[in-house]
Amino acid sequence: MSAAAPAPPTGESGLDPDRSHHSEHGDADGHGEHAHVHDPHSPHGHAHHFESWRQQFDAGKLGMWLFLAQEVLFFSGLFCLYAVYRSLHPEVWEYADRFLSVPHGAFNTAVLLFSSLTMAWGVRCAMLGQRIGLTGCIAATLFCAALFLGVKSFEYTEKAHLHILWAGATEEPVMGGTRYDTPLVDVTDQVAEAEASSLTFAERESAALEATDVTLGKISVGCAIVALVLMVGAGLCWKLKANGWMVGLAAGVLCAIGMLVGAEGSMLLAHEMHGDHAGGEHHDGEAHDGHVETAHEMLEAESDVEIPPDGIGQFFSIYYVMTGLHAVHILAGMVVLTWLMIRAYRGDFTPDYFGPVDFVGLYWHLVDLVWIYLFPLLYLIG
Amino acid sequence: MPFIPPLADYGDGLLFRTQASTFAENSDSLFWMITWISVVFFIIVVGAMGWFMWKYRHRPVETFAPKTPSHNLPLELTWTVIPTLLVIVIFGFGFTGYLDQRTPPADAYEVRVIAKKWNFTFVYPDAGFTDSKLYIPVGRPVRLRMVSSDVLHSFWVPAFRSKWDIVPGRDSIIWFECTEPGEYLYQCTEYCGKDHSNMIKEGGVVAVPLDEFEDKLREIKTVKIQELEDDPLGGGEALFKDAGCAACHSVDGAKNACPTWEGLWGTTKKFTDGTSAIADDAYIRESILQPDAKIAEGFRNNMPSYKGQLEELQIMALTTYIRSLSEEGRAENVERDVPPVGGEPEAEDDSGADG
Amino acid sequence: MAVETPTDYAAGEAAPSPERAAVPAGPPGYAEDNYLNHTKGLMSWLVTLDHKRIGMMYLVGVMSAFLLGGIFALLVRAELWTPGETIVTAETYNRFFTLHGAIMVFLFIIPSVPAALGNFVLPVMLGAKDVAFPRMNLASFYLWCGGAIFFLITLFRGSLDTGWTFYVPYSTSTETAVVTALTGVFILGFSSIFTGLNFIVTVHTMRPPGMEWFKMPLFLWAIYATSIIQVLATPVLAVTLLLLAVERTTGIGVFDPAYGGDPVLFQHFFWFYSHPAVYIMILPGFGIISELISTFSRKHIFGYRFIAYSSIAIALFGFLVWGHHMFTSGMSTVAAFVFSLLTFSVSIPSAIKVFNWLATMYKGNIWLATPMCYALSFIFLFTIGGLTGLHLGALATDIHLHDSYFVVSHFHYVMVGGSLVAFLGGLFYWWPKMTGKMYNDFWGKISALIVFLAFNLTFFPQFILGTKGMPRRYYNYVPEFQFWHQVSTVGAFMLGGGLLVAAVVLVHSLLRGKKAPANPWGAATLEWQCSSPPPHNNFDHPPTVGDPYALNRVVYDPDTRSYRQIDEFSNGGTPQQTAKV
Repeated sequence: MSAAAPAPPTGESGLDPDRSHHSEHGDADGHGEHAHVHDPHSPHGHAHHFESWRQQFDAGKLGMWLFLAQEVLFFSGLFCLYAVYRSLHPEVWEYADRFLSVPHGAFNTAVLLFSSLTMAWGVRCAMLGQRIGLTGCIAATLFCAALFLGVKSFEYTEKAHLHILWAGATEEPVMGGTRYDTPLVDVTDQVAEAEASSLTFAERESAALEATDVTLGKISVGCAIVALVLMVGAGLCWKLKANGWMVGLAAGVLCAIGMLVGAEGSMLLAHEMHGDHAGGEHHDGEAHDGHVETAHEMLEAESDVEIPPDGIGQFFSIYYVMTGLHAVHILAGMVVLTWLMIRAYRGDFTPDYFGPVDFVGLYWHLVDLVWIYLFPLLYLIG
Repeated sequence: MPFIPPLADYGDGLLFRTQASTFAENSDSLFWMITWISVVFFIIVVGAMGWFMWKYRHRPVETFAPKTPSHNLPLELTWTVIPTLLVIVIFGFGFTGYLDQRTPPADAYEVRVIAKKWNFTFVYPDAGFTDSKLYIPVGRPVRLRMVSSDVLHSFWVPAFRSKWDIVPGRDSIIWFECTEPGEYLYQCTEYCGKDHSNMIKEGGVVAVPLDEFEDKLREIKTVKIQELEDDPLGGGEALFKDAGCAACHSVDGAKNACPTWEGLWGTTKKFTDGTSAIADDAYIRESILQPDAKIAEGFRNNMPSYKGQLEELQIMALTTYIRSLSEEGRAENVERDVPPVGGEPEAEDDSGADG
Repeated sequence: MAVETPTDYAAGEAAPSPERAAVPAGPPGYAEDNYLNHTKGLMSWLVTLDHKRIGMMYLVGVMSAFLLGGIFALLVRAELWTPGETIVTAETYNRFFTLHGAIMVFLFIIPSVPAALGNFVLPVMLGAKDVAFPRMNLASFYLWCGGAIFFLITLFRGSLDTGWTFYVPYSTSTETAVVTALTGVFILGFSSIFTGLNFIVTVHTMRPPGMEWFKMPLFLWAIYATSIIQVLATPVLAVTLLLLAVERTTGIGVFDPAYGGDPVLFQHFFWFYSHPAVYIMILPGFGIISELISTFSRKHIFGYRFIAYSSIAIALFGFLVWGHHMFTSGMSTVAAFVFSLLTFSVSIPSAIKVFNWLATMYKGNIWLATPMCYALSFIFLFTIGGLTGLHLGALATDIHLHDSYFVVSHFHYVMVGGSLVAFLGGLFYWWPKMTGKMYNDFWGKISALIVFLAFNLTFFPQFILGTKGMPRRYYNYVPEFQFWHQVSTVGAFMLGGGLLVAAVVLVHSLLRGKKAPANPWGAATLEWQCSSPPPHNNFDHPPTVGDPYALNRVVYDPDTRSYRQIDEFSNGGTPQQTAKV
């Protein structure tokens, strides 16, 4: 859905300066060609039904803003859900928040903020007619998006190994007759096993981390292979002078490498945290005064033995739905960015015609903005 | 007041059932007030429309209508302000009536209601029995504390002009005070699946004068126990329907959401955890009170517990009924000297309550 | 071009004299190149970007959906002929009413006026060559088709029995194809968003010189207000249905009480969209009626600004009243207070419109052509529908009437008596413009009369059933209701017959109809300035924009059998004089 919208506003008909708008032969869609009303001052023909290029740009921009309004309302439903359940079960939110890794979230926030910068820079490059600068900026944005997804994939994988999943996957329904089918993922036994086992949470966490390492290792290898294959393909396309394909494949390489770096990087970060965590406790104790240490220890002890409050599954349901839908938007954005990168490299955009760059930029900023809200709401305020 | 002539007719009127609660008069008066306002507006609008249609009917173009003003602010404001004032009045009456209905008095007599697909069960905690009929005293507020064990339901007594949704996972409260002794219809008004339209009971609400109410409850309880003792088979069969077993279990071998009862007793049941056991009285009792203890192979854990809803005597009656559905069970019934359906001849006319 | 149509007047060009205009020269406009014969072949339709063709394809689409939904309606009514089983079992009956509701709401009423008629009319009325984003327009149509296909799949994969409202937890526990249907509605939602977005941008950016906001015909105001709702409310439905689908497949526990979710929260989410959706259905109808009443009373619309503002007011208030669907669901007293008060506030703009229409008719020259018959029938039926809304908005009476046949009847008076009748009025009004053919006016009026009478016969008894205590969605009922049910069923089949007559009239016109002049009704809005059917490009030059309701400037021209516009600049004489030339 998201990918479709930024595309139509301006469409292709205004792109090729050399395409004839006065051709007499019938167009297949019976629409594109008309032998009248052209703005002779327009360097690129605008779509036939607009009176001027300016009108076309304004229409596209308004359309994009409306689309963004629509997106905001789409997410607002989720934020309402968040607000309702948070106010209903504050204790769950206080408890569950500790399973989300702030450093990873913070890193992702930084990555997305940076990608917003590169995107804005790209729009400026487009306005100034800097083709290579624009392509580079879009490439950087794309790489950041992939990096973000890489980190996210680590977080999801680790939680899956810890059996921290949505309500239906971790809890028995309390009421018969309101489920039509068993949940998609039934890990009830595993959860029971984990609960019954004598392992502390920290031990389970490190076990999960190892399992995550294995899973992500496979994903990384896959990413690397994909990146290599795409790179070879891009080289071939370069030889064949199929520039569009080449840039498309290069974008794929960027994505694969971004994913790999994101996943492996967050793995490293997690190991780092985990190691520090175990060793640093005594260290902390020496550094701070007694009161703080006690509170800290209590919290530590609590997280190992505390019985989770009821409804913790709901927190993670909402976590998965919100971040999942956000990730879907990132993915859609990546598709559009790839398309944009190909066109940018081809030199479609000029200081007079850069609507699509601007519109995709707006979309990208919105996706960032949503994350700017998600990060504190889910990771920080417990 | 000019707008209430239809109220003079206290019988089953053209539009409403006989009023039988303290809310009914209020609700109906408001209804008629709105209706008469509506009729006046309707006559103004449609009358004007009809008159214009005739008076200004099509004439040749040459006699074109003279130019008339295309707006008139005072007129526009008039027909904005007058309806606004009217609807504010209607809103006020509506809201006060609603407040009444939503604030149960503290001394109300409480009955619990369990709604499930597709029946209502009324639990009388004081009297200690359950029934598919709602017995209420006349002239004393009654509060229903309603829960649903599956999907949304809604409890409506049209004669009381009273209705409330029953939301699973919540306690839903409704109250009313009946004014006339008699039997009234209740029904479910929130769509709940296949037999939604059978969640209706004519005479399902029995209003008894206040001074006879206690006696009535005692009497019903005695009758119920007597019935079950005299006729466990018939009582069990009635319970099969009234307690909601029939929604999921069949007695003819049909495979529903839960195992059929045909030929159940005495056979060896396999469970999802791999164990198995003979379906005897103890197993059936456990399945009723603790349905998730053993789950029959090929089925899901989707039965609610009946703990606290069924008396021991009722469980016994149900067990007797289940026994009567299999060969071994029938033999057992004969051995235990269970009376045939209908019980002893003298209890015959009371048997099969609500059948 | 020698065609004598007003489109020939270029902006600023010297106005033709009345003499010249009176003498028809050359072949009539329809022989010229128009959007129907501009290109040929199936593909030229399937990949067209022309808003008129997309509108026509939408029209065919929504009419087939209407047929399907109508068949289900008749099956429902036939089943209710007797208590208990008449033709089908309870389970099948539940599927019937669910599919009737879902198909009618999502596939028919919501896209009917905006996407079918609006697509055709809006750009022409506005004086634009097309909507702002033709590709998105076509995409919207194909999304509609995608949604329709998912509905068809639903039909064959266990059907759907949740009611069109998908209330949780029934929708998470039933075994029918809920997820397929949800996918269909989700896709249809985006179709609707795209249409709305397109129209807003079109109205904002594509107005030709001279088309100021307050020179826009009221139909455009109505569509504009509708589009705002479509863009802002539909995404909430999309996310709600997405959550419901995830809830059903994985159990995320936000709506399903089995995992601690709240079913009432689902209702809030659902009605946050679906109440504004009611205005998506009725607002365009108001717009059509404003056009029809003015044109066929041959008089300037009364209170233009009040009608225009009331459309916007309805759109905005419409977002704040969703709670009135849930007065008995267990909301707090404060919430009930607010929602009830706001509900009454939204009734005022509708009342204003009705009074303005009446004032427009006052001292008019009322021509009872088929579209006007539908418009008058709309006023009658919508007044009943609107006034019975008061009973439901008042909290104390709503408790008794909620979820009863009173509600069923009320919303059918608004949705069928309102939206559908307005849609038919609009269809009969713009039919000559869309197809270039005139239909038989006499039989058109007969169809309007049958629809009007049969509709009342079908739904008026349901008010009585409702107050008496007949709950909606009931398969079985107590025997005392049988009389009224049978009356209603007879009415429903007559209604079906009336609609069939209307269909025959229209189809017959395609085959045997006389060729339509450019302006058969004498309307002053821009779409009547181009030929019938309009040329491919709508306007070769930006049209002359004037007051859309200056009907005294439109006079009948017996030579072309069409109305034509006296030019604003000529001021040569009074309308009477010009008409006699």
